[in-house]
Amino acid sequence: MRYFAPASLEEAINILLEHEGAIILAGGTDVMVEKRSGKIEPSAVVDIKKLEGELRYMRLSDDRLEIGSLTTITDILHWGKLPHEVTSLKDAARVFGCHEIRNRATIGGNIAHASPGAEFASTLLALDATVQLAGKDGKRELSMEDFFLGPGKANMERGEVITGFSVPLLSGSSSCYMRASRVDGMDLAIINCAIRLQDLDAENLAVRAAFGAVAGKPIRIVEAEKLLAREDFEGVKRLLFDTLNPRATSLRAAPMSKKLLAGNLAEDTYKIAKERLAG
Amino acid sequence: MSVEIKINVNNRDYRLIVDEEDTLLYVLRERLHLTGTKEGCGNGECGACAVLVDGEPVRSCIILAAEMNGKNIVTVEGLSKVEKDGTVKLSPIQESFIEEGAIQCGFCTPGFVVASSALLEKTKDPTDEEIEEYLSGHLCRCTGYATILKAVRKAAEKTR
Ligand SMILES: Cc1cc2nc3c(=O)[nH]c(=O)nc-3n(C[C@H](O)[C@H](O)[C@H](O)COP(=O)(O)OP(=O)(O)OC[C@H]3O[C@@H](n4cnc5c(N)ncnc54)[C@H](O)[C@@H]3O)c2cc1C
Ligand code: FES
Ligand code: FES
Repeated sequence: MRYFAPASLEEAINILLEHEGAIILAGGTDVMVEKRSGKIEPSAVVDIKKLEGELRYMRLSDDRLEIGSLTTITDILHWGKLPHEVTSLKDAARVFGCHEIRNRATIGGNIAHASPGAEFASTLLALDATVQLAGKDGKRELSMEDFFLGPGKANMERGEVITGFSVPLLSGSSSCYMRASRVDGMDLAIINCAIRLQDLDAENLAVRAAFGAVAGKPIRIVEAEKLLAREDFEGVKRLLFDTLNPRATSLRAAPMSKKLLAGNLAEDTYKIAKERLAG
Repeated sequence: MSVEIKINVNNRDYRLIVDEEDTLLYVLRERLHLTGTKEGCGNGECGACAVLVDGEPVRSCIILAAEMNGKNIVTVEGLSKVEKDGTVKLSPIQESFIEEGAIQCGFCTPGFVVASSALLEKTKDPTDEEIEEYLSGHLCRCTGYATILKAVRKAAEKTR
């Protein structure tokens, strides 16, 4: 395996294109584990950490939050300026791995890995974020819905690099992320749920609800959003129990327990988001 | 293929030719013979291999040595000081681990000690919750953790 540490994005893209089987190395917390276990055998790794000056940032504009792909989970957890509308990002960072993993793991790696239960996948999906990619033909931007294709599969061409994410900050909105896991400490989610609420008028709420580890990729469930907007929690539980079809290959829980858990988790997540909307 | 790296480990500069696939853990143990750092799981889950890179605890089993060019690394060996007369002066956290008997087989201890010392660099007065949170990714299969927490609390008192 070759190791490259390019000093520019252009150089990184060129190396990725020149070397068949080359992959990007960010924090390495997925790459190194999968390489050591033999799950992947990259011909080369392209370490992009020299691009931190360009790709490690969190910036606020008028109505958006911009997050660079090399932003670490620790960066997100400790950023004092995180707007209250996107508190779900902090929820996700708080339960993520452990201190030492958070120090290395990046948000770009979390999304690029396209694991169905990744902490920031459902979170960014519920927040209606877009992902920004750079490749040899220039830049493009995709919705999170269009980005995830299946377990470990993302809408990325060879030679493309995620440069960042753009998250809308809606006025009168709030968000929450929660996961169900076996232990409170370091664990991956059995399932997870992220919700964004927005006040439309005195009576109506707009709800976006995303679920992780219930299918081959993180998904939004529009019917569940409608029921949550009416606070019909029993309806949500029934709907998710009846319609979810989790993969039986999951290591963390049987499909039946995921189906049973989903509605309860959605209710809890919704209620916290609602409290945040008021407070 | 191999690659040249310059690193500082425990206040000593090294210039090494390493294999591109070598982990930091491998280079520390097998090339620099700093065997205090342990390999438990080898996939980022247990914390036995924790070292400080530019002051922050990370897991050396899932980092390539090649990524470390230009970095400052501290291993458990670097926490104690050797006095002029050759005696070794342990750090407060090491002393507390001994005093509280926060060790059984000792395999997890270097990781706990290294991570705890980084915590105490940041906060002189960590709450129990902060200690637990900071060390939550470290596994010990022997002690049951109570003595470890006690040792960290004691070291915090000593350094205050
Ligand atoms: C002990 C442990 C605990 C963990 N706990 C959690 C957890 O609680 N929640 C969770 O979601 N995950 C967890 N993970 C998984 C992992 O830490 C995350 O997915 C992490 O965010 C990956 O980021 P990274 O920077 O380390 O990515 P890397 O391992 O460097 O890369 C991951 C993948 O993304 C690609 N990639 C990286 N950056 C880019 C980019 N900018 N553009 C395009 N492709 C890119 C790489 O080629 C690779 O395929 C854990 C892992 C370990 C070892
Ligand atoms: S050996 Fe590195 S975390 Fe277990
Ligand atoms: S003392 Fe044996 S693993 Fe911790």
